[in-house]
Amino acid sequence: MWERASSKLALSIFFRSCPQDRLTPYWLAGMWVGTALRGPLSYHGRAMDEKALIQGAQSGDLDSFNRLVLNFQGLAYNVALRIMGDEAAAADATQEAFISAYRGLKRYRGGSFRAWLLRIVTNACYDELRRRKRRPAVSLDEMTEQEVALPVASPGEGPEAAAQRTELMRAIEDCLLGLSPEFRAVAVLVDVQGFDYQEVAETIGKPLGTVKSRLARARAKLRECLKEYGELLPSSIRLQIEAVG
Amino acid sequence: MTDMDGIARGDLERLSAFLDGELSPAEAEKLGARLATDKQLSEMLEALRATAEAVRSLPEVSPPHSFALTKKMVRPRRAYPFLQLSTAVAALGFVLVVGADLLLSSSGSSALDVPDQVFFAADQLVPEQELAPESDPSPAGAPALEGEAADRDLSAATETAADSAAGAEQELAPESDPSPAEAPAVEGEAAEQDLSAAAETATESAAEDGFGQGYLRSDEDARESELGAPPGEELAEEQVREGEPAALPGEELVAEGALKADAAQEPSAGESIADRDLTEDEPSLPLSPLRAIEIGLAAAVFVLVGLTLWVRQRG
Repeated sequence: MWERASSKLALSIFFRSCPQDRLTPYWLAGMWVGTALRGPLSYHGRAMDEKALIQGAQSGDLDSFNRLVLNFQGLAYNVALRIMGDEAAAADATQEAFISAYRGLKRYRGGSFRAWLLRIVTNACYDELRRRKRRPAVSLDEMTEQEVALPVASPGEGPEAAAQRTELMRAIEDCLLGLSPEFRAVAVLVDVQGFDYQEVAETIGKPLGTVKSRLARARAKLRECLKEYGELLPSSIRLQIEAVG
Repeated sequence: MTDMDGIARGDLERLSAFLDGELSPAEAEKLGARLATDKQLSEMLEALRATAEAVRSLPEVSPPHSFALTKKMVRPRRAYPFLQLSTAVAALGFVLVVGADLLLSSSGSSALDVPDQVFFAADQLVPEQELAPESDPSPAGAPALEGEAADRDLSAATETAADSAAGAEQELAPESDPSPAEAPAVEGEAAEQDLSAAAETATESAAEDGFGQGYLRSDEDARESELGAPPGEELAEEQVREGEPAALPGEELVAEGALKADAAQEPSAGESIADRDLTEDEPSLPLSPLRAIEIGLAAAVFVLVGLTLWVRQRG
């Protein structure tokens, strides 16, 4: 409601300035007020929504839970994809995680919902990786599907630059997969998803010191790995990575 | 302790945390002062920053499909708790029945100690067989029978036994006088090996008369009869020596029917040794209801455990 009111206020100030057909101070003021109000209010609104949806889902409302799923499925899937390194396996782990989350929703006792959810996602990934380790046979279809989606060429990007970027992505993915799953999860959560250390600690269920230590070592190993790709890397990154020593 | 490129692990952690703004102000200030003077440290910081940025440049991938749940996906797993309960009940039932069987066996005989009793009877009776080599066991020669064949033929055996008893009573057969073939038919090599020549004769005569051909219908049944044959044979021989004319069914399963027949016919010779022995053996039927329940419950527990594990694995 507040979000809508702030948008209306911004729009009314904007339209009042429109007849003059130029950027007036009214318009600027309207944009500022709208943005200033909408930011915290929308966050607050989201939090309220999330809380209501969680409560609804906890009482067995599947629609409420599915709205949470739609909110978090991109995050959950990307974390799973970077941990698993395989699209199909990541999709399976994500689906399993959401099913587990729904069944275990009564155990959620507040705190960061996304950290709680991602803990289930990472655990599902670990389980799947352990299963694969026990049964290493991978079908030919799965092997051909191992290729993770690569970025499309940006507009205005030449074929050489696009190929170089593709190589870089491949190198980073390979190096990430070279880490142990526990180190990989921390690197993905901080460096790919931008989580802070506290939330990562909640997600992996370890103390803050462990997060710090794992992340530092993961980055050091990634750097060592990326150095081996040498010429494949863009010169800016290569020079910085190889600077020490 | 150095981790790489001469940088201590503690410094590496501090540099990494410094990158993310996760150091306390005091620590950050201290590290900042060191970075200004230590070139190796500052180069490592840049290397870590470049690495983190490279990882951060990985593109976000759209999910291949919606992960919204359907009611089918979250349907409660009803089979699993049911199977768990069923397995527990079957296991408990098995334990109770075995316990009951053991209690019964401590107070008397039970289905579980049948073989011992049979062997014991056999051991006791072997010398008696040797003492009476000339006796004609024609009324007997019937092997003991276990298993389904015995069950199937119980009624027939009872009739046969009744006929035997009646025939014996009427004829009061002497030692050398073969009984008119009340002995059941014996087929199969195993039974033949264990039976005496007289028993074979009886078998032939029985076969000729068409009696009891259903007693032993297969080699397997005949082999099973090995355990029971000697006692039956010996008891019959003993009866013959004592002038006991009653035809002996010679098998434990048939014993009950034979005893009933004896009771019904009231043999004049009174209670024979065979009758006494058979009375003792009466509860030890090879396939008593208790044993059948035990086998059934054990099989049920195995099947249920397998099913439960399977359902659990499927999730």
